[in-house]
Amino acid sequence: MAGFILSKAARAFAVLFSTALFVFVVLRFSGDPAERMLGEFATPEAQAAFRTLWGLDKSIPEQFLIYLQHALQGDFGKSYADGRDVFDIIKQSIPKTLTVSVSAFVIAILLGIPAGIVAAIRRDSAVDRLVMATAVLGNSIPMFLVGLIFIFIFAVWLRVLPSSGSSTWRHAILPIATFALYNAASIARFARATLIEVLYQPYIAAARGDGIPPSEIILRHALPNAAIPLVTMLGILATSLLGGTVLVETVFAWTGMGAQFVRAVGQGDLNVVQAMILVFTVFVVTINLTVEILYALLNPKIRSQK
Amino acid sequence: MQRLLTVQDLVVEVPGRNIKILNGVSFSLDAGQTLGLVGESGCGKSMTCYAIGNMLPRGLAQAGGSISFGPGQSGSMRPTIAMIFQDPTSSLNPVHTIGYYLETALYRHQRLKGNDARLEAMRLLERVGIDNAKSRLGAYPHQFSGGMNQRVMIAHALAAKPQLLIADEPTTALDVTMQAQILYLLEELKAETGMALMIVSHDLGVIARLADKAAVMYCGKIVETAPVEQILRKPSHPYARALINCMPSIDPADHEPPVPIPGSVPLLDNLPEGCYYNPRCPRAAGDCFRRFPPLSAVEQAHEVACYHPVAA
Amino acid sequence: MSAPLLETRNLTKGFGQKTGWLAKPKFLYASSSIDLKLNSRERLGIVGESGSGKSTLGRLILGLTPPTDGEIFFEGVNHKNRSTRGWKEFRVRTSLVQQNPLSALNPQMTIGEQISEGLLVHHIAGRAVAHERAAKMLEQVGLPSAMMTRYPHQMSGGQRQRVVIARALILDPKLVVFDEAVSALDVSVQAQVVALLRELWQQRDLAYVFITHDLRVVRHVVDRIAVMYLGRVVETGNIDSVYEWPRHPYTRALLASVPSMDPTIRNIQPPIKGELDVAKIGGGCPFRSRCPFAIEKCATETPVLRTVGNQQVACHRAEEFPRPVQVGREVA
Repeated sequence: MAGFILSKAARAFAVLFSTALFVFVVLRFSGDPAERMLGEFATPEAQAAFRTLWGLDKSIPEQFLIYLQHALQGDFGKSYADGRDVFDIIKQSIPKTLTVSVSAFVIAILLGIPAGIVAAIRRDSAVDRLVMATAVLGNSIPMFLVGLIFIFIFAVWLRVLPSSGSSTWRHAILPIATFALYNAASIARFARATLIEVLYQPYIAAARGDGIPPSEIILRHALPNAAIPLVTMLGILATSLLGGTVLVETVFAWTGMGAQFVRAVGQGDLNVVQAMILVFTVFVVTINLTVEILYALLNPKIRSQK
Repeated sequence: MQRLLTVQDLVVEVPGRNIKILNGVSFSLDAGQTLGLVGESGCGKSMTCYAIGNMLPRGLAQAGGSISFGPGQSGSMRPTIAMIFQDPTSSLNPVHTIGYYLETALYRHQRLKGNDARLEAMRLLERVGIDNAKSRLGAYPHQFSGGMNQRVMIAHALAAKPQLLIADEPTTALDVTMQAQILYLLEELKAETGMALMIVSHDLGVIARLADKAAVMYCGKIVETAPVEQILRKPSHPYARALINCMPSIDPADHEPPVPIPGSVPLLDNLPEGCYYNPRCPRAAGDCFRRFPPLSAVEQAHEVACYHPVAA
Repeated sequence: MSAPLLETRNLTKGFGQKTGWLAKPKFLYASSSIDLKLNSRERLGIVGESGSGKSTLGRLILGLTPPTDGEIFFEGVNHKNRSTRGWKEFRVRTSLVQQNPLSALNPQMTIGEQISEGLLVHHIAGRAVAHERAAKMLEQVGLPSAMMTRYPHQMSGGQRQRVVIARALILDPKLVVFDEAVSALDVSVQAQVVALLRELWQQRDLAYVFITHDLRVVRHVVDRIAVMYLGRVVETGNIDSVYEWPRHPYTRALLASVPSMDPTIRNIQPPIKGELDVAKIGGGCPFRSRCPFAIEKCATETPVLRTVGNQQVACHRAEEFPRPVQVGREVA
């Protein structure tokens, strides 16, 4: 098992490194930050000065090496926009993003999985149809629209919650709710389908034949098997949360990483973009690694091969 | 001989559609007896097992007739029934160890826990011919071959100390050399525990080896039931006779190729009028086309559902 | 007929299994040094249990997988030397019928389309002629030509298998390989298909390779038999001779394991205990770990096929085993 984890960790690191390199190179080919930052009316001298200031006049391999050197010491450069340390910018925005996305993810799981289980157990009943219709509806309406609808209902009409910003805990409710509901719908649908497939397996019929009570069949016999594909799906969902963050933060003006990222890309703030992508990569890689480990823990067929 | 099980006019259908998987099945089983159910796919032999074992699949319901049990263990009505299935590996939960599987059964049936359960589980594994029992307890079904998993299922069945073991095509998915081992194991267990056995197989050799009496099924009905030597050597029902003749043999002196039965088994939603076998039967005449013949005795313990049975 | 239709020499197929990143792959031999000859119009049965390598042999013969070593000759041409055009011809002159007729047929195409497809793809006939030939072929396998417009799901298992056979024969092949072709069918349907295979053989210039685990069925389809164990042919000869007096301990055990239809034969000890353990293969005879008659020589010297009685046997002690009193009764 230890060897398994080590080899996966090594692979994760390789992904991180190659992503950093790739993004670095691509960003430097994606247009001139000097132009974007300083605007149309900047003089060529000003642009040249900008490039020298930020080391953009050196060759790309040289830039990368310098970047690596600094990065390994924790210095990710400064924002072209306001000169702040990129490290500080990230330090400030990560907690905001995590608050919304992690809470939303947890709530989505707490809502979605039980809903999916109930729908599966009582398939084709009224409860099943109700739950699934809700889920399909939840999946069909785009998240930004749901967000706007929530803002309209709760902030404009009922006036119980603030519409945007990120100062108090009340500001967090609507973004979390929007995010959570959409993902809960996906989880419910998937959980239902997976559980139904498991329930059709011969070993479940055999367990019924043994006289094992239905509650035990679901809990001890069916769910452990359904958990295997479910964990994989949750992993994919978790990585897609990163994209969703950007959307939700924009709709609600929630100043997390997503919003920062959008700004930085628009402005060509290379250091910020670079660092954010690295952070995203770390998240994705960590999530994938966790999923792989969980999968191995849950699936004896994988365990016995290691 | 105690009567263990009486099935009377059992009907199992698909509700809403006019399909009867079991269409009035009647037979009985005494303690210690072995009954073989023979027939081709779709005849209802597996469904009969599920009905008795109280595990009819979703969507099917018992719509008539009765299953009644004779004296059971410790005063309860229903005898202890255990079941083993055709594909052993997929009948075992892939995330449960063999040990969990056996020990939960031992708790359920014998209230054994902890070390007692573990020791008994090991003893059961050894009894069914699996050595290194201790190390096997922590293993998973996918790590074993089909033959071993079938032994595990038998061990699991034994944990219930069953009075009746229902075996649905237990050796069909196994190699012939493994089949011989499992059949021998079942013979030994029968002799040791005195349990009754209901065995379903399309292989008449398996029925010949294990059964005391046999019932031949066709389209959800039993068409003949008799002691096994009579079914195999002097079958009365034309279908039973045809079925025996179309089984190939390995006897090199027997150069007769298997005799095919003309036509094919009718679909359950499109059964012929009268006796279901009449389109393929060389003896069909008169009443055969009007009413399905009732089971009637031709000899002691030998019943046939036919208006023109083949004479002995 | 001097040159055999099909010949294999020292045919070997190994599958490498990696046990870890850096470990050297362990080779599992599905086939080891197989020498077979099949003449036109001969019918050869290949029997064995799971792990015997019989299916792999079928695929090697048909060029569906390349050998690790050894050669396969069809109509005198080595598979290794076959040109692209040669392979096309090979596909016309050989056919495969497999176990599961439902998955062997395309659910989206009609029966008629599927049978005539071969003729069209190989440009042997135009649409109209192909259709006509397909209808005739359908009747030859015992199905009414009205079924040309049906879809696979509208037919029974036995009917589908007949369609697969029709499709296999439409191009007039010289060799048909059957891989467990009747194993998934009900007994009565099996009997029908077996009768069909016998009839078709009478009417045409066909050779069969019939791969199966069913020792009963194979008797009525083939003339010769080859018994395989762990990738090796352990006994081969005329099927009646082999069944009457099997010379290899495995063949004897195999035949003795088939449950007899005689209800008085009961409570017999299983002829072999245990099961195939791939890990135990080393030098010598592949069967020695389960053989009740194994001696020292069996571990050091791999037995080769040699003539004993009326057949070829790969066993050092083949001469010692007497004719069984009755098939299915005795092992020794």
